[in-house]
Amino acid sequence: MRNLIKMILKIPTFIVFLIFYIEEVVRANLQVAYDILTPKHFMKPGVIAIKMDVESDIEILSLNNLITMTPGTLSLDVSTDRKVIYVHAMYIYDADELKKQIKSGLEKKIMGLYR
Amino acid sequence: MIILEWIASIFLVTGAFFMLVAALGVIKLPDVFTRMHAATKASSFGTGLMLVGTIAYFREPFIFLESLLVIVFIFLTAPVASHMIGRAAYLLKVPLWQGTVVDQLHGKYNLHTHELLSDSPPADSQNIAKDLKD
Repeated sequence: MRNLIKMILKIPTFIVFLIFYIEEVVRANLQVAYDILTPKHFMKPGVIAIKMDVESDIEILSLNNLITMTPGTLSLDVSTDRKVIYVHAMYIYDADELKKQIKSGLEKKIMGLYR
Repeated sequence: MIILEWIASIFLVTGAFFMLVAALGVIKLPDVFTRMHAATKASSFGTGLMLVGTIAYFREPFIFLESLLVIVFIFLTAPVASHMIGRAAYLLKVPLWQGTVVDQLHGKYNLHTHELLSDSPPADSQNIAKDLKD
């Protein structure tokens, strides 16, 4: 019963999350399309490690999914002890800045959704 | 209802456009990992748009439900596929593009067990990697 109430209370958060997700997907695709269709590329790709605060399976899965679907990043692997996620990014001008962006943006959203 | 048909065709054409972009990206981008960016994002988005076009054209509850389910499952599974392909490519030592600026995954894999460390490996595992090279 308590779980049910909790789920119902999460519905607004879920809708906000869904809108955010769709917006990110559209932005990611416009960017990819721009990159591919313009002849020059200014890519600075690389693989970075990001420490995760999320723990359960579903949260890690969602974070992976979200990272892959957001602009410029692609999740490659999760470490065996599930503490670090390795991300391939297209534009690394400042690795720390990107890490912070993913942690404060995407991971906060996931935590708000499941906790 | 001609307007809805127009909307449907716009969705179909944009979807097809993004799929074309995905295909071009696979040809144009320099290495596996950047290609996966195009192949996952653009192709799943293209499929999604086409299915929205189908919904707008038929306007029937069952087709709505089915298309919605297909969209949900494509967006759930496409990242998993790209995740596995990227991982396999890295384990097979597919070279990264020479413009790659940073590679923090380097040397973190135990090549015998495929275990992945979360921080810098101890001296042992580096020896294992060297053994495998010889």
